[in-house]
Amino acid sequence: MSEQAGPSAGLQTGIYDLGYRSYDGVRLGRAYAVVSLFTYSLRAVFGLGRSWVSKLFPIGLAILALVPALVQLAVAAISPGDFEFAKPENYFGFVNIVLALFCAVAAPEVVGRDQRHHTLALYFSRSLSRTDYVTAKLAGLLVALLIVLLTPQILLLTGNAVATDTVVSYLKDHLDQVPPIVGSALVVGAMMTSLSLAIACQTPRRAWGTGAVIGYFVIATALGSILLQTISGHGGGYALLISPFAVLEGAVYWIFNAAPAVDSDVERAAIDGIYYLLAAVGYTVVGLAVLYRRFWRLGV
Amino acid sequence: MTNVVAAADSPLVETRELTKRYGSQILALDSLSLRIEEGVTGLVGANGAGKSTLIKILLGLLSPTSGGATLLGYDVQTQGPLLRQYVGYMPEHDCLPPDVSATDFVIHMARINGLPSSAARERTAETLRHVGLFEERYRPIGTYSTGMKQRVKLAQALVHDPRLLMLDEPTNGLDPAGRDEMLDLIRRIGRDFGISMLMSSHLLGEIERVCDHLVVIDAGRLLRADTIATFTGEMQVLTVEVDDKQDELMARLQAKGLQVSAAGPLLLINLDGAKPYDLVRDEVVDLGVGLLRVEQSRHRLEDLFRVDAEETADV
Repeated sequence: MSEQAGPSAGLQTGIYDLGYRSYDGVRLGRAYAVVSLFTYSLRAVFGLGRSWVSKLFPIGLAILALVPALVQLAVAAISPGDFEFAKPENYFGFVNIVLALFCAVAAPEVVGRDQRHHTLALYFSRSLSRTDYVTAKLAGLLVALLIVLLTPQILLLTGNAVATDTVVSYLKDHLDQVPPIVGSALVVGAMMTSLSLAIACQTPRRAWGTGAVIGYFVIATALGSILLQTISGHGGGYALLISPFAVLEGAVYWIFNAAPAVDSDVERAAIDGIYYLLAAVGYTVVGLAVLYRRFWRLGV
Repeated sequence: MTNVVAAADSPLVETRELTKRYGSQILALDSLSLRIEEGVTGLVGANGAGKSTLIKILLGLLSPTSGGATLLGYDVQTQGPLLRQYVGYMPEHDCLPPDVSATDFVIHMARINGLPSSAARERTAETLRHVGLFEERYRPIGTYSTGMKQRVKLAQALVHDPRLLMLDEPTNGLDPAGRDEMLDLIRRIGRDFGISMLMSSHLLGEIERVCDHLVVIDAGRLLRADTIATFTGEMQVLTVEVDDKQDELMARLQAKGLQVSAAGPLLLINLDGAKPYDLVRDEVVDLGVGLLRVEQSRHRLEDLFRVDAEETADV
């Protein structure tokens, strides 16, 4: 280990001349490195520690995702119990585009940035493995997305409770909604994280990554809708599974054990809700495989 | 920590028959076996000689096609995460995000190296000061000059107090003044901080200024490994220029046992510890020619390597 080197005589640059101290403290190893990269990535998603421009889109979109809940609460405050349009089971339908935009902004930041600036060599030459790196990045975006998904739900639940006269009993009555809220957020978060990272990691360029993620969600959703209308019988219903938004909407309804919205694609498809959940899991797994494979093979 | 200290008796770096093949055509390393001890070692070779490939294999960034290597006594392939806590790497290429400050970036890298947050902050401040970054360390890296970026690259490699620092072409892209400053800094890290280093460069002058040992690779094979002192001992040469009978003088000197070669109008006499000044004077007087120049100088290291390479090729 390096020796303690006191201030050396003869060095002209006085301010350098402070002596080098070796580090004999604790080294927390690989797991700590993964956690550090996770928190760094999570902060980076929201642009924390960066300029205000970096914060603008992610924080703006996160706030936009709250709008349906805020409107619902405002309506409930004016006229309690009359009109409930935003509910835990249909909330995804209101914010799916916002979530896709959030992923499109965040995913290239999470997995494209280090490729763009060639920083990967610095990570992979430390105690992190490539798998560790991807896991930390995945967790960073997943947790960010869960924050965006769960905040309006928490707001809805507590806001509705406050609007009633009996807050505690309202919360007790609606306690059974918590597992499906968390479960559906996990399914939505996992699939959107996995797919958007798998797409965005293919290019170091931010604009292309963002465009590709938005393009995928919009085009695949439109395609699913078109196929549903053009293919007759059950085939059309299953073809809707191409649409990521429909898959997630269907999975969320199934998790809440709720009927799909009237006149929606999911209702028209008339297939068993479990297929949506299975499709969501399938997409997540495929996305993960693509993502890990990319970083295992990437030359640095 | 304990494990790595326990391995302190092992050589810093050891490779055994290390081979790296890219596709079926390109052989970057060809059964390279070498041993590097503590100290500051220069890794020299032409572009494409395999320097960066070797460093990347030692760092676990690339897998060898065959053969193996140890670093600090630990296998680079099976014990990578453990040993890399004690290794610092400054890549040749750009590797810094432009939109964060040097302080934030180096703290982050220190944490990735396992330093707790408070230690990471403290060591980042110290390390940035050591590499000569002061108030500007709070500015985004994108606003830095090339020289300042090189310092940040060095700082992130140094912040966790590595036992071995690997520098890949650390002066790339710097102007002469920046080059001098960087080399001074590297020399100081090796001598004053006591950190072993492996520094690759294709510029021998740089290696000579900074390193104690030299490893020369060419076409993925070890050409030579020795101390800088041995190399420089071989580099002494006496340049003689006469106005006539150059060939005759050369033959006479060779007959007296000197190694003489002609380079245009000049005769180059390898000194190798000998001092044939009187002999040269006497022979010149004896031939009755005019002596235009007697100058003690040095071969360029490149010349030595070219001879080595030719010898190797002949074998």
